[in-house]
Amino acid sequence: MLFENNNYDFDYDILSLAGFNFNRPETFYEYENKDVLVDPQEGFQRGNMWRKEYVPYKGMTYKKLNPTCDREALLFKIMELDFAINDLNLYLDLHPEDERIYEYFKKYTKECLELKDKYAKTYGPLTLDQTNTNTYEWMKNPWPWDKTGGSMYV
Amino acid sequence: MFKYMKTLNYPVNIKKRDLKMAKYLHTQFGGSNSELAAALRYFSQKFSMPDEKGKALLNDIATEESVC
Repeated sequence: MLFENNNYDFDYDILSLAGFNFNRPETFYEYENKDVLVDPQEGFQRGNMWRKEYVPYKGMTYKKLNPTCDREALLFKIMELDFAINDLNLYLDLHPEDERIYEYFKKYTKECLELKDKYAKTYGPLTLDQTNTNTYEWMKNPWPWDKTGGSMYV
Repeated sequence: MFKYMKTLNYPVNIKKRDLKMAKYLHTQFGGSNSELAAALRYFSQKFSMPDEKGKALLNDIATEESVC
């Protein structure tokens, strides 16, 4: 008896009927307040440049890498920046109007070019364009997969 | 067009040799449904993409997948 005459008891959302949408996407607020990207130092070791898109496996952390000598330290910085550039490249392919991320991209590419020139002058060529020394140093050992020759990166 | 850079993508320091893991890794990198095969598919299919975003995305994913 109590529930039979229930024709006039509607359950509806008054706010959604009026047309208001209070469910804004989370990324809108985060974009203004926090940083969306992580530093390249941390991003390279995580494998991901985005702050939100990383879920550690069973609560474990990534292994922290420490370069031992100067040559390794410089090369390590180049590797980090290369990784950051690659990751942002994939994002900017789909969102080319994103100016904030593009500023980071420009900053990283500029820094990476300077560091690569510096490395090529002191330690040896990294690409074929950088072989401007007296001898043809491109083919000299070690290649990056060799363990001999000092460091394990190059 | 490609340029080769004389670094590794991530440093490698193998302390203990594991044949089983090496076989698994080989199937992932060089088998029939591997990263390399996918990269070559992306390379050849980017020519028939209708818009800029598709072409750029396939190109960049293929360059990233073809690390060795």
